[in-house]
Amino acid sequence: MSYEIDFELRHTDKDTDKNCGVLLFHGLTGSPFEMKKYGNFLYELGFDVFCYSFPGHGENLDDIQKVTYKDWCNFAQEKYSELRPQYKDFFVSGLCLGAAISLYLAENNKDLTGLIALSTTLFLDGFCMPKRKCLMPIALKTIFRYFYTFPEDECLGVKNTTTRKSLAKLMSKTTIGMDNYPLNCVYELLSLSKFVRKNLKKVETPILIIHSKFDNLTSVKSAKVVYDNISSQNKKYIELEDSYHMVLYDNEKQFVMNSVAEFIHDLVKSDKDESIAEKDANLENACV
Amino acid sequence: MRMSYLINFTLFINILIIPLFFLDMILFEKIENPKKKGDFGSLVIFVLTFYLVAYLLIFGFGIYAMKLEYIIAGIFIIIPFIIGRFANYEKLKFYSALQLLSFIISLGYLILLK
Repeated sequence: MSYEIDFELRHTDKDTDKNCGVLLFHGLTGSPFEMKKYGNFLYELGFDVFCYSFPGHGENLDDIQKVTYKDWCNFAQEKYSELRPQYKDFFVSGLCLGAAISLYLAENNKDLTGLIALSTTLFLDGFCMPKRKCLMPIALKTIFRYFYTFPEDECLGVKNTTTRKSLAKLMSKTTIGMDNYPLNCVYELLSLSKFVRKNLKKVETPILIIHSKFDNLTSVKSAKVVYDNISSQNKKYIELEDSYHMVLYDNEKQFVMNSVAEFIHDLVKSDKDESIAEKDANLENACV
Repeated sequence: MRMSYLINFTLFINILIIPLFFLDMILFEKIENPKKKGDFGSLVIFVLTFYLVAYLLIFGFGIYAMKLEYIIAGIFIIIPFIIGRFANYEKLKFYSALQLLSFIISLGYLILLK
């Protein structure tokens, strides 16, 4: 199921010498719109960028109640399997739920070049969670999760007030994101988190984790759990000081994007270096 | 705490939760405002918490006093979780009705206990 907000930014062969694709995943109750600027930035650097709406996220707000985390995983795997063979290097990156899904892909696909996890949401323990959160464990395990929603926090996950205002305006006019979290999708997110955490050891892909110290939705605990439990040799963790949850729209967005670009360039470059070294070695052998 | 007080308290909670849950079933699609929806949901879950605690106390008393009729009441603690485990959005009306029925049965059982 795809909506107009999905995007595919492909270069023609002449545009770029890079043979590298990046698959982006948006956050819970969000849409590819929230990844658009990030996608454009990566596209301008010469990468092909793809972002699609998760099942249940789109024009009909009821749809989100009908999906499970397995639908999200299958969807991501399907897109990955479709796109991966087209590129020499391939990255996945996600925000919030998207980061958890990216980790799921890394656990199950060893041919992934790199992973960028932004505001990884494995626990809902941010500082802006509503007070009634204490009732959540009972609500989550009973049928009440279908009746219960909690509204999006007033800060909308953005510390920058100007951006927050324009985001609020945009959200009231369009369906780029929901203004509340149906508890059932929180249940699915937490089930996914449990599933992903169980298999973190399987992640061997180079990874960049970016998380804000002041994330309103999920504390740095999520990022640290990932960092401490994965098997990747090449892992980097950046903690932001002046952002909330939506790190791609907040005060440090440029720093985040630059860090991502640097991480991808390093991996692609080291890939190239390796192949050059391999060619040299082959040439030497041939000469001998 | 005397047992009759506990039973009366549980009866009160049980009587309260039935119309609240029924209202929840009817209104959850009609309330548009997410804040109002969240507030009403919180109220119902708050009452459900009391419901579960009350039955847990009855069950605990049953174990302590070795009274089978009170131990049996413990089944009403796990029923909401069993229904929650199997419920899905497509068959929400069926599972909601089942949940409502379990509240009514628990009320009937309490009246028998009284």
